[in-house]
Amino acid sequence: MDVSIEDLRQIMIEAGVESRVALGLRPGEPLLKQGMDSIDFPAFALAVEEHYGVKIGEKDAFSLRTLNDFVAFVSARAA
Amino acid sequence: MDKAEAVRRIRAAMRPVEPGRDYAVDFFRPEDGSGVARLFYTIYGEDYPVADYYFPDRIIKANESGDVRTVVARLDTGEVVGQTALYRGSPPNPGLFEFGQMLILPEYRHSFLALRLMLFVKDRLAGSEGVDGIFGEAVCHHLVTQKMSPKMRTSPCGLEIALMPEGAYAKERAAGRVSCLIAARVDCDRRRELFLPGCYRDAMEFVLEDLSLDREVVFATDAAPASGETSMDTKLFDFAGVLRCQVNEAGEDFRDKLEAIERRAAESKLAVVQFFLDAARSGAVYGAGVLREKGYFLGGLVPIWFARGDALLMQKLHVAPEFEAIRLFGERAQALMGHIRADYEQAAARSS
Repeated sequence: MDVSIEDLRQIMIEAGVESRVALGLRPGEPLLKQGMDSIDFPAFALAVEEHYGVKIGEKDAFSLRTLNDFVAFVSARAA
Repeated sequence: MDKAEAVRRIRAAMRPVEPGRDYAVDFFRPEDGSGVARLFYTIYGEDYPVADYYFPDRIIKANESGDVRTVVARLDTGEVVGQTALYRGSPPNPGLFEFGQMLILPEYRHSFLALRLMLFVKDRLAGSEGVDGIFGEAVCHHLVTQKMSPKMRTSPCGLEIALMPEGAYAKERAAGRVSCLIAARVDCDRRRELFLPGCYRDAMEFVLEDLSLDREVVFATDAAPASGETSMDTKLFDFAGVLRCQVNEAGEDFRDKLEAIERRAAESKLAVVQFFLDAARSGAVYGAGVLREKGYFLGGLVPIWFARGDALLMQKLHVAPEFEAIRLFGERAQALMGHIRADYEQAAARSS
């Protein structure tokens, strides 16, 4: 399955993350250091689960630190 | 049994909670009563202002009556590690519930639990039997609570300036009195009349455009009081120095009633006086006009606050507001404050 950074940004915005934050994220850097917080992060992870139909356990989710990590995780699971 | 005995029993039953276990988010069951009481004690000690939450039987009864709709996060051992709730509070309309009481044991805070509780309320409780609408009052000295609003699909509709005393949030380093943003959503609506002062057209249209309500809106520049006496209830929040007045009908004696309240505010050194006017009645426009003459300014519009109609919120401060310290999440909340601040400044100019 194709998973793009732009798709993830859109999912983020639909999950309630401020568009300013979502659009400004650098894909290789930790999300929690770029304006996402403890409310945004789980909302995004759950939205990714729902959108792609993949299960992201809570322990897995906290190991996904960057947008690139999410791309790799979802690509591997949804393949 | 008094509160001291209830707390003693909670303490006696306290056991360490194993972190990292799987949990399920679910509707409250009677067997959760003790766990919920334990949660309130763990988070607040003996300081939670409503003593009923230290009594498992009262928690069960409140859920059975429907006045409180608790959602819990439960381990397979039965231990309650988190909760949130919808509950009936200030609004006279029993169909409008306040959303709050998000409590999570420290061992489970590094998890998705808060969000899962919130989503359960949004997906399973909002719009369910008897829950026509929900609202929240989020503090404005940080953004964490406000950030729940878009995820709950609530819309900012009111801003209560300087509502809470600084001391209530000392642990969170509040500087000065704390304002609260009201955000609401209505799931079960019906067509209602809505009488509003013409001077608030821009602000009210801004609030209404995001609430998806079925309203017959009348903006009036002048209105007569309702015939007969004013129908009003007042409640003093002593610890906060706030008097909240709920006006069902602003009648011919409304001006006299207001004079009495103004005297009470001065004598009691209140910080804030609020008026919630039932805007399904044309007397609300009259009432707002009288309040404006006395230095009150706009607070917002809270949908279905009254069983018959929405509430036009007016407020007056006896402390200096610190608008610069108010932190707001999202453009709509900031635009709402723009309308309210402009009206405050006009009110201040009229008074000087």
